[in-house]
Amino acid sequence: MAHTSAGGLRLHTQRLPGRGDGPTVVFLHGLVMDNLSSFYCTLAGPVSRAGHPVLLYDQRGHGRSERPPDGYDRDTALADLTALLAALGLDRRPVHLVGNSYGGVLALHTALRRPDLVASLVLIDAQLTGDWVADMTDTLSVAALGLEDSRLPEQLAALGRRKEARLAAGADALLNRTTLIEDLAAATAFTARDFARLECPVLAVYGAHSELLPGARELARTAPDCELCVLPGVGHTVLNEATEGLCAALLARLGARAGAVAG
Amino acid sequence: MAAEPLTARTRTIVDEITDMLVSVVGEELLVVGEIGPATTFNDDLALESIEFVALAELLQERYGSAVDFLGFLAEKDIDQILAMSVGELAVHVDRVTAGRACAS
Repeated sequence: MAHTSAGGLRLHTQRLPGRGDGPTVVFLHGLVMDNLSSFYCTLAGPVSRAGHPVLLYDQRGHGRSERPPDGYDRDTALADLTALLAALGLDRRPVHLVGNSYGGVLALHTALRRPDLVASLVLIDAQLTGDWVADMTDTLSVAALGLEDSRLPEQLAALGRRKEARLAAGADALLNRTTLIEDLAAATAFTARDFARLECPVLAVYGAHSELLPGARELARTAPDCELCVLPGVGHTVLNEATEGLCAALLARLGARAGAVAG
Repeated sequence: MAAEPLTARTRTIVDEITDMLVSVVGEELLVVGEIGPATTFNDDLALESIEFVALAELLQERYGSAVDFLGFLAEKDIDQILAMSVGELAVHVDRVTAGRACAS
């Protein structure tokens, strides 16, 4: 089975081949209810078929990766990523990081802390500026209380709603039996000063109706090399509801960069 | 039951898919009842996308690269794939690997 031991942690990984020796495209999924399947079922195939090697993995506590009780802060996520890249022998050259939602937060954090690791960034409706840390912490805390008090997984199971019951049980385990919420609460939003320090090119793909768009506009204004692509008719759920436009923007970006390197 | 009678080879693939499903999801899957050709991934087994990814990997290890989940995803979306039955998947696997079986 595709598990890789990274820094002592068992992470579920999936690798897809590319052609030639271009940089690997690493996908970082979103928080709590997400896992690598959202990228596997949308962008990973087209990116691999376009010739780019692909690495997908479930973040700690998510999908089919191990769920330790703690370590849900950004620095530990960065340590998990660097350990994984080293374990797979992918640490000898920079990689492209593609992050969806909170996965984009981790991608940006990685580019700021370890610019040597990152060839380029693609941020998909990621939380950047403003009160998102407090908002997200509140939302997850309410969800955690609901899961704990209502015994929701058991109730759903009793109703025969097994898929929902299993999803709720997974969320309950992550929110109520790990430090995820407190680790998240300790984070801070990014600032224009962070954006100005970015050394790699950035593609930001956001929904026209996303409440996170102001942060992306600030990123585009202040980062040295950032292209903002706003997709019409969609909010935060760009990956699932504007897959085609997102995929086209991503492939154009990867193709152009590959061509630039080759030339 | 599936609409058409299954060949012996397809029935064998159904059994192997059943074993793979149990190894991916765990013994709890058997609480659902017996898994057969008519069992559907979404409605009957409540299989999550991430579990289908793991199943697809096992199928590829067993049957080779002709079983191409990503190629499948280029034609159908994941909801359509999860709406399939075990028998339909087995027929698909049988079909895409038939040439290999003849050649060997």
